[in-house]
Amino acid sequence: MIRTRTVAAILLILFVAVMTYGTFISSLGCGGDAVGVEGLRVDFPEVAGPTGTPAVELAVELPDAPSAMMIYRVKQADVTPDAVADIGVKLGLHGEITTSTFRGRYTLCEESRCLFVWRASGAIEYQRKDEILFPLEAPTLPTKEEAKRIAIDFVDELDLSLVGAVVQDPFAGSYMSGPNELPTGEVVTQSYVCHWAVRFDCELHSVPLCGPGAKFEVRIGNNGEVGSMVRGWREVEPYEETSIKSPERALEELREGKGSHDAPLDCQEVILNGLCLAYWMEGLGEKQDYVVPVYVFLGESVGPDGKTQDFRGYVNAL
Amino acid sequence: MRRQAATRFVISVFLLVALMGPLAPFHGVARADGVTFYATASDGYLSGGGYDYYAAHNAASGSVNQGNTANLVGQFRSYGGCAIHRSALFFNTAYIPDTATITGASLRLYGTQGFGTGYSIAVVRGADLNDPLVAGDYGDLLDETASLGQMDIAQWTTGGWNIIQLNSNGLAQISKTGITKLALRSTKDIEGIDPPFGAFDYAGFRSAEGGSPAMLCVSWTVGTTVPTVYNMYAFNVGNYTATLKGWLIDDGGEHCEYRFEWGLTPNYGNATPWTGSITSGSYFYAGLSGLTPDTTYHFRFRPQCKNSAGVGSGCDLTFTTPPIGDDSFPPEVGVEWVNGYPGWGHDLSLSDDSTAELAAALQGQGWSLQFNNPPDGQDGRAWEKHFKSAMRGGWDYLYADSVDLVMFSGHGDPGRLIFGGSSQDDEYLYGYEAYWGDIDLEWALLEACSALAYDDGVSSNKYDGWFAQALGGARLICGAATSIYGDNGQHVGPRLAAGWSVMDAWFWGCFENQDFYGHSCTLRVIAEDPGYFGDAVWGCGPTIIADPIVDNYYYCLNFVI
Repeated sequence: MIRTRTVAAILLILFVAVMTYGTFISSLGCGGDAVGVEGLRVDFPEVAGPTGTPAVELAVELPDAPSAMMIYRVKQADVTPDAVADIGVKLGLHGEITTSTFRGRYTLCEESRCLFVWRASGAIEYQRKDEILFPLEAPTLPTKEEAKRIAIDFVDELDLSLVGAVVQDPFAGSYMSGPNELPTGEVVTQSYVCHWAVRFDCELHSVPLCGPGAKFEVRIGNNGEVGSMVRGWREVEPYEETSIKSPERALEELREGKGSHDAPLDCQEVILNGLCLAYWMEGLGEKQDYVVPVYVFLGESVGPDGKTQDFRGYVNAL
Repeated sequence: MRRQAATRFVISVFLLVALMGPLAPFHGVARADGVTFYATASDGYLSGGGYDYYAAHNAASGSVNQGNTANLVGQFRSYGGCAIHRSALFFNTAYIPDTATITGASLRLYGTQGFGTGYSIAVVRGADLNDPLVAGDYGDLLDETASLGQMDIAQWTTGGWNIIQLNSNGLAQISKTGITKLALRSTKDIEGIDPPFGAFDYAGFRSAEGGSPAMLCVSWTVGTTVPTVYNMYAFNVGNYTATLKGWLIDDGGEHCEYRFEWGLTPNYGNATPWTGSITSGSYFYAGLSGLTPDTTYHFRFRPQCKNSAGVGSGCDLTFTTPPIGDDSFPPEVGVEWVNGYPGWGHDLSLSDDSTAELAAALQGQGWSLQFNNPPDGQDGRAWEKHFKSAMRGGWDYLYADSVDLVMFSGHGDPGRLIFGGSSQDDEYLYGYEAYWGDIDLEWALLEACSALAYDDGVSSNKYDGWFAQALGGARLICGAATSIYGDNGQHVGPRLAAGWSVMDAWFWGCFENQDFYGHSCTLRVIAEDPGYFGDAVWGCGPTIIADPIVDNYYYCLNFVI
């Protein structure tokens, strides 16, 4: 009886020891399973419009995809007021730097110009709140080529260029129409482009970035003046390579209504013409620990009247 | 709505006329018109006959001939004796306006035969004819000897049209309310000339059954009449001011002056000055100031228009000035949200957070939260009728239009907000069902996909125009022309509180949550006037004090993300 009790006690001690060690190791983040896949999956934002699970058709063959992809760990930004001041100087802003309680960002404003630096992500945003971007009369805009050059120069001068970022062709970032007649919406007088938007596409080891935090653009308004710039970027380091779903499985999940998509309410059918993998970046004000891959489905959604509109759907790759 | 107080009971008339309606033709002069009427199938001819001409001529009745391809008029004598034919024609001329002055008319007959000489085919009064014809009509025509217009048989054409102009007595026979009845006699019949043997003095013309019915071509003018006026509504109703709107449906043929009668009783007691020179289809406005606040007053008003013919009045309507305090500090915010969409298959979960965070940001600036529906945090209490105009049976005056800024968060699609089903309403608020700002609202934030749907300038998807019709004094309606990610209140609210313009706060606040990848989304703000794009909310930044003047135009600013 005594022997039996002794054996039981030893076993209990060993069990507790093993459990304690495992918890300790996990807390150090050393183990491969320190962060479960469940916890890394993206909680996609809600789209205020779609409904149900429309029929999803493939217009292309599903591409091959790797069986595993790297998960990256974010090197948390150490944003200091001094660093904000340095950028401010380059923008000609010399005012007081305040810390906004709003999502924790530093703010440096002078008159209508503001610089925001997000402490959670290190994202940088510059904005002019005058009529440079949204003029009430048709502005004098540079050519698209000139706009592209202005954008590149602007980020270069701020030392915000990113290696591998590819500048895209400018597009109309805003347009004004009016007066428009009721109820037809016919433009009576004028419609004009208010400013150009120039974007930089960024990649992480040849995989594109997506999500609300993957923003890098410059907007150029009247007389070629920069009206806004935003750069959402997180420094990362390889964390762990992990297996991912197959494209077939991802498509199945899209059809099951998992993930997120923006098909309109009355959409009858979605025709997919593209599928790729991308890394998801959380919003500028969000703290993000890991950057993980997602499947992106692109195509067209078809309404009951046959009209189509762009479709985008996300499914977790993990 | 925030307005500067004005001297009591001083009437001001401002920006009174908007000539927006289609212009009716012939303004300022009598309107001319002309119409051809075709004889009905009741046409026919009446015949008398016998050896004794006078007995036949003066007989009380004759035979009725209908359904033939031709009608006859005139007389003759042959081996069998004599025969007298009198034709009857019926035209439905009720189309002619009661107010018309008939200026001319002609009878057109397609000749099939014409014999004899020395007589004319005369149009005579047919008022006593029965429709359909009866035998006694023959005799009744005996007394109709006055010519209303005639044609000499020498001018008569067979195989073609014969046109007989009606004289003034003939014009007087044309009915403006029903059937015009005309008869045809030959002048020898009228004179009672016994035809000698072998005298064939008659003509024929096609009947309705013959395929070329007689035609009566009538021209007329319409003189000036009393204008027709419709009462629209009062809007921009503040503590001391209101704008009245009327609609001139028909100017009666002349440019009209207009005014509004108004007061506290059905007798009105006050009137704005006669002014303007407007035509059919025009809206007209008058601003009142110096009114008395508070709900106990129900101002009555009616629009009037006048021309040389008299004054036309719209019906009596009332409006209520809000109590003092509604437009006073603190300004009010109201929010409604829907997460659950039973049966739709796609619930949301953050609509409540989005609206709550926006409201909290404004409350932090001293704003009062007037409503947050559902108040108990349970879905199903945000209702379409809370946003629908009272003119359409909604309760916006208690909700959306009772605050300075309102936000809806939920699903939407082109031209409408979706409330997800409730026993209280029809799930959808279409843009044109709303009319905001005639009571209080300044700014509306619609966090709902595609409600202000994209307009590529080519397609007919100009749904933004649907919500633009909701600009009834409100300054801006902010929304999306495409799908957007929700939960933007957390970004928009603090920007509003920080003094950003509503437009900037909406654009850049929503910008944060949106995703560049794959395709763009478009945010849209529509404004009554572009000057309001720079509006900050009350107490947080520069805001235009004066409310917009509502008209039939709007401005649209788009932000592509």
